[in-house]
Order: sequence, then C-alpha cells, then structure tokens
Amino acid sequence: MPLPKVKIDVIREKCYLCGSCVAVCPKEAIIIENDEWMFFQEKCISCKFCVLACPVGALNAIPLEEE
Amino acid sequence: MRYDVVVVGAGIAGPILARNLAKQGFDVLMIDKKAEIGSPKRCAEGLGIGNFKKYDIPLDKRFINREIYGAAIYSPNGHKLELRYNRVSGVILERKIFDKMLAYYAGKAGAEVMAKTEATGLIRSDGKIKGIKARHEGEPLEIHADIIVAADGVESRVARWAGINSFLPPHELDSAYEYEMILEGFEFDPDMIHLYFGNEVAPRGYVWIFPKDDDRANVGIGINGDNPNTAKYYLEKWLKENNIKGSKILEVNVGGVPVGGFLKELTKENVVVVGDAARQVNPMHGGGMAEAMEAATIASKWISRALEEGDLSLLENYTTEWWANDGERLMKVLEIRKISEKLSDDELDAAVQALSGADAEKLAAGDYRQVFKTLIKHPKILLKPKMLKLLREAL
Repeated sequence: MPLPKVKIDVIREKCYLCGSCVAVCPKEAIIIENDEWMFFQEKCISCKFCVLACPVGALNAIPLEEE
Repeated sequence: MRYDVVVVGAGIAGPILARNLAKQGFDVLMIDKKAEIGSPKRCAEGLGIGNFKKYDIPLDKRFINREIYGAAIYSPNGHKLELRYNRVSGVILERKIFDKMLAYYAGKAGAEVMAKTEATGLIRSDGKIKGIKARHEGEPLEIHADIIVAADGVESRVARWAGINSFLPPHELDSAYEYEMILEGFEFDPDMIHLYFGNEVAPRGYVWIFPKDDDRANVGIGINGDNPNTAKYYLEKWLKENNIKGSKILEVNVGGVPVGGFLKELTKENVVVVGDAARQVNPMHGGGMAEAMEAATIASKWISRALEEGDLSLLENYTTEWWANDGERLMKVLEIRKISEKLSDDELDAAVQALSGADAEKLAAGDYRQVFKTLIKHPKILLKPKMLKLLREAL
C-alpha cells in the first residue's frame, strides 16, 4: 500500500541546516545547497523519515489531498 | 583546475587526510562549503588526550578550553559510576578553532584550501569520475582530480553521487541538540565529563555535560532519530527537571550522528569516503573525531600508494584495513549499544551499580566479553532475568 502523499515543509526560522533530514532521506528529495533547504516533491516517497529525524521539529508533513 | 586529490569537507577527517598527502608531495585541494571552517560546529567537543600524539596534532592552547580527568556516569535513579584518572585523560576543544587549525596544518603541509566552496556534482566522462563540480560565491568551478575524497559529513552527497548507498534510516541516526551555556545552581565537577542515562532522560542516548569552564559547559543530548519527540524536547525537559535555568545560553548546536553501522564499501572507483560520511562513529557514545582521524590515516596511506603505483584498485585496501581494525572494534561497540538500548531504567540502575569504572571503559572500547562474564554473576544482575538473557546471548 502506498504511503499517503505528503509535502514536506520547513519552518526556516527553526532550521539549523544540520543535514539530518538529508542523511535520512532515501531518495535525495531534500538537499541543502548554498545554505538553502530544498525539497523536491517528485522524488519524495512520503516516508516522513525527515520529520522524525529533525532534532528541533522544524519539518512538517502536509497531506497533499488537503491542500 | 587539476589536482592529484580533491577533498570535500574540512571537518576532522578531511584536513588530516589532506595534510598527510600534502606532506608526501601530492597536489591536494580541500574545499569546504562553510565561509568559516569549523563553524557552526555539531559536536560536544570532547577528545581523548592520546589522539594528539597518535595523529600528530599539536596541543595548541588556542583550541583547548579545558583539560578533563575522567567521566561520571549517572543511572536513572542517580547511581553514579566514576572513572577518574590522576592525569589528563582528554580535553574539551573549541571546534571552531580546532577545525580551522587542522585546515591550517593541511595548508602548511602544502595543500590548497578553499572555504565557501561547495561541491555540486561529479565530473564524469567516458564512464569515469574525473573530478568535482563546485561553486564559490556562485561561480562554477570544475576541479579535476585523480581521487575524490568524500569527507562531507553525515549528510554526504559526494558518496551518493558516486553510487555508494550511504542512506541512513532514522533509527540509525541519533538526533542531537546542545547548548553551550552557563550552568547556575547545578553542582558538577568541572574536571570531569558527566553522562546521564535513562529511558525518560534520553531514549537510547544520554544527556552530557562537557565543561569548558568551571561554570560553562556544552550541555547536550542525543536520542534515537526515530523518536516521535525531538532532541530539543528531551533536553529542555531534563534542564527543567534539574532546575537549570536556560537563561545564559551562548550557543545552540544541532546535528545528526550516524550510530547504526558503517559503510561496507568505503571506496568506489576513485572515490574514498571517510568520517561521518562513512558512518565511522562510536555507536555507544556518538563520538567520531578519533574514528575520523584513524580512517583518514588509513585512507591517506592507501591513496598515496594508489597514486604512486598508478593503481586505483589499491584503494580497496583502505576498506579492508579499516574493517579489520576499527571496523571490527566498532561492530562490537554496536553490539553492546544494541543491548544497552533494550535495558529498562531498573536494569540501567543495576548495570551502573554492578560496573566498575574500568568495566565501563572497556565497554566503550568494544571489549565486552570479560565484563559481561563478570556481570552475569553479579547479584544485582542475577535479579534481572531479561538482562541476564541479553548478556548471555552476547557471550
């Protein structure tokens, strides 16, 4: 069964760019480049590992259907 | 731009490796995405004293905050296990100076160093990896090199670009949060590091106090990365329960620590992975500086041989040698960690009461056989059937 589709949002003010989300993403759907946090929806498999791993709770998974 | 070796990342492994190779006359470039090498840090900054001599690093007072004489471990019920030496056993560094000085030593040895230069991809042609694409202040660079070193930390992208599967599931990551702060109204011996264990305190990990002054310390926490609560939540909770006011916070540090195992293949073609990027971290305490130095030492030896003999297949010896030594030791540490993370608070209390300081030191080094054999006969442990079973299974 596929996981319910989500989009990952960052609360930029909370994020330290520590890269924990990048490390746990199985699909390289999150990268940090030039001090910028970037999310690529087309690569995301909605596992939400990034949300779990974030040390500060800066990431949220937003259900796509409810958008 | 053309070099024998390009090193991506100037943390711990990168500069040691760059220095070793530059000393032997190889053309080395080390790049780091940060504008200021060393900052921001993601570290509790404790390093064993023996590493300075072992890896030929000067004991420069500019990056040493404080000398440390041992460690104190606290169980959930407050039982204390102390490991105190009558000589300096380690130091609390100032990483933002230490890393920069390591890069300085690499530069002095002949390596080129470029801060604020971020790797953006690999240069590939004829099915081979020819170097690194990078950007400096928005300007694209093409850095050609015979060998590419991925020393780009827990979030390593270089290893993944090369096709090395360095994906780290959240349960193999420790999520960490730390304040450098003034500790007021809280008693601690500033000559020791202090580690607080407990399933409510820090699931799978611990809270640490690493003193930089008699009242100033790195106070941090590591917890399992798949925990529904955040590391910050647990640290704030611990501070509150211990009546520590967080009103003098000098720095906030955040990071992920790879604690679930190590890269099987440390090289691929002409790409060599070291340090956090290769998951070379002690999975018991989450420290990775000594491990990064060791990996960099072995890797630089084989890179040098590969370049001298023009035979890239020699790089594979880095994987073999690392796994036969530090790899084997750290796998044992990981086994112990996998046992300790299953223990209830009651069992942790019993363990802290039953262990001697020397036992704890052995465990942190992966040397568990004798310690476990003693433990399973200890009256405190005999009362804990689940723990007894876990220990027996490991023997």
